[in-house]
Amino acid sequence: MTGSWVKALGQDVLAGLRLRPGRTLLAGGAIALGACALTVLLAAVAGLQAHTLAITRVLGSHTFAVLGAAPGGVAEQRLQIGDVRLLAANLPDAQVSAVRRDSVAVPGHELTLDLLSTDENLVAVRGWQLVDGRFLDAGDLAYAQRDLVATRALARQWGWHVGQVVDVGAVPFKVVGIVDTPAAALEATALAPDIVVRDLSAFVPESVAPDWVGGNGTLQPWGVDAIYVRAGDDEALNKAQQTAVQLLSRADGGANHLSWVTPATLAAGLDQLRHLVAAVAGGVSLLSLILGAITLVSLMLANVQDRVAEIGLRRSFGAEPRDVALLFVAEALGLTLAAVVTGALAALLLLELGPRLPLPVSVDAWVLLGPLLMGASLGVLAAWWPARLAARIEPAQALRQA
Amino acid sequence: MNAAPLLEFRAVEKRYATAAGEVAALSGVDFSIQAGEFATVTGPSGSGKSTLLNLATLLDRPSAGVLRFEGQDVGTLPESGRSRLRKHSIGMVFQSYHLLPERSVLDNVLFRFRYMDTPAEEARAAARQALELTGLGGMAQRTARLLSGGEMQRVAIARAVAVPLRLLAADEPTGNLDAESAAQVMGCLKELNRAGTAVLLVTHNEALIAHGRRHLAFRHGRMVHDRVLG
Repeated sequence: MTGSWVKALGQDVLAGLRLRPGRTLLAGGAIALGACALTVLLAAVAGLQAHTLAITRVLGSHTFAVLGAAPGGVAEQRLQIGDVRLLAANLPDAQVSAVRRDSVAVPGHELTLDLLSTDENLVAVRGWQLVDGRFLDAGDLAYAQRDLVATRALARQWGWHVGQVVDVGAVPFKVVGIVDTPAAALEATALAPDIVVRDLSAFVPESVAPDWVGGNGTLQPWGVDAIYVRAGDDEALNKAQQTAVQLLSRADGGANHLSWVTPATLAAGLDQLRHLVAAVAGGVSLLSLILGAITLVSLMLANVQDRVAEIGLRRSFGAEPRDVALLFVAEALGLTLAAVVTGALAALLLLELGPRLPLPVSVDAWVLLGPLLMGASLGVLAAWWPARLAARIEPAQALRQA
Repeated sequence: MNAAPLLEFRAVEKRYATAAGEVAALSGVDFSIQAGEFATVTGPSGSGKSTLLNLATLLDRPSAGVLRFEGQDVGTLPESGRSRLRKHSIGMVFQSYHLLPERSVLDNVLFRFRYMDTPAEEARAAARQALELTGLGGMAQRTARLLSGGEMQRVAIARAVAVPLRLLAADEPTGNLDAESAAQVMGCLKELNRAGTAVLLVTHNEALIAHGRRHLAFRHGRMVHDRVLG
């Protein structure tokens, strides 16, 4: 019985929507466009949320980074190896590590390699996993061993493996380990470029590089690009950051010459981006949906006007006012849901096959449910007034008019 | 024990509010129709025929007086109860047919079951039987808009009587038809009446009076005579 009731209602809905195909298409098109924009918006918001979590993991839990001026920037504002030692000496409960990034050519490869000069603590501070071999150790640092640890992406791409001797900038290095750096996948987002490790990166002892990378044989004060500090928990992290600010402050301008990157600052940056995306895509979807809703209301009103006789006929066959109202609500719902599904599918296809968006996107249940809920609400809202009018039509008057 | 009349009007009035004030469409109407009766209603335009029909089919409520259907006061009955009576006991045929033009003949007849709980197969069988009764058994799949006026009206009759009715009310059912088609339609109505359905036929056409056993005449919203025909 329920099946035949649904079937009959479906037939009524289809017949009603066919009455004015042009206006039905216009309303459906506008709603589909809105649903498409809304799906992209939700996917982008979900993507940014996932990205926030991922980038927090990239930085490392209970970890903050201190960034100085970029290479080539104001020399006085660069972090020095001495700063690293100062922090390490005064933060006994925290782990401290530092990285300097240089770009070097590798024979036989067109792309340059990011050579990250660092110490033995980096892998622990950043919370990375070793895939093979070992990370740099105290011996490498103390004896300036030409040992190298490759990222997993680099090892896969260039076929490097543990035990292999590779030429880096015409200097032979022995690959001692391969490490998984989850940040590599986030490289393209440029949301936190200073803490992200590119795919083509390798780590070498910081005691090796000053003699060799871009130094032309002259030893200069050895600058670092980032210092990482990892504490045991959030409270210890705050304390360590306060101490670090005091230690690295200058008499004139405090520690403002440095950038402090924490999970909170990263999340705040992403939140700003999320708000921007929500404002732009949300605006487009809102405008389309308003246009669709107005067209839908006018379509429903026209349908009621065109079907006065049919309404009278239905009433003469025993339909109650609520049955008549339900008919128009079902029509509006049918149209909006069909339009929303079309728009959402178009958006998913676009995200899958179209040009890559400059934002991370992620499709979760809400990305699919959100537009559907929106469509259902819009359909009910747009149909409410016309359905009420239709339900109030006196059957005798309806049949006489017709 | 006397059974209650099928339809009973007691001092029924119907007034409409207009810009110029209240207008009485019907005043002091008293009559009753028995089950299985065939009554014709005539009168000039504005005499209150259509208002009478709307009241008889429970599409409208009287402003004053008592209207009963099978003994039940339907003037004050809630809308759900009136809908139930329209659904199961009362059928209507209109001058302008009111078919769904893009649907098939069979679908139009099945539309009568739209708000009933009849199982689909049962409804389909009843619809086919009603089409046979009106001589349209071979046209079930034809699109309604392609039919002639007489055929459309017979579809409308089939649609009305596809459910077993107590009362069939027809508003100028032959008004748009040629003589031959009109005769076919009247034949259908008489056949239904013979099977036990009461028929209330509203018409301008004095020639149709002879088809009924009772004639009611209206003028200026009042019943001017109620005559049983020999």
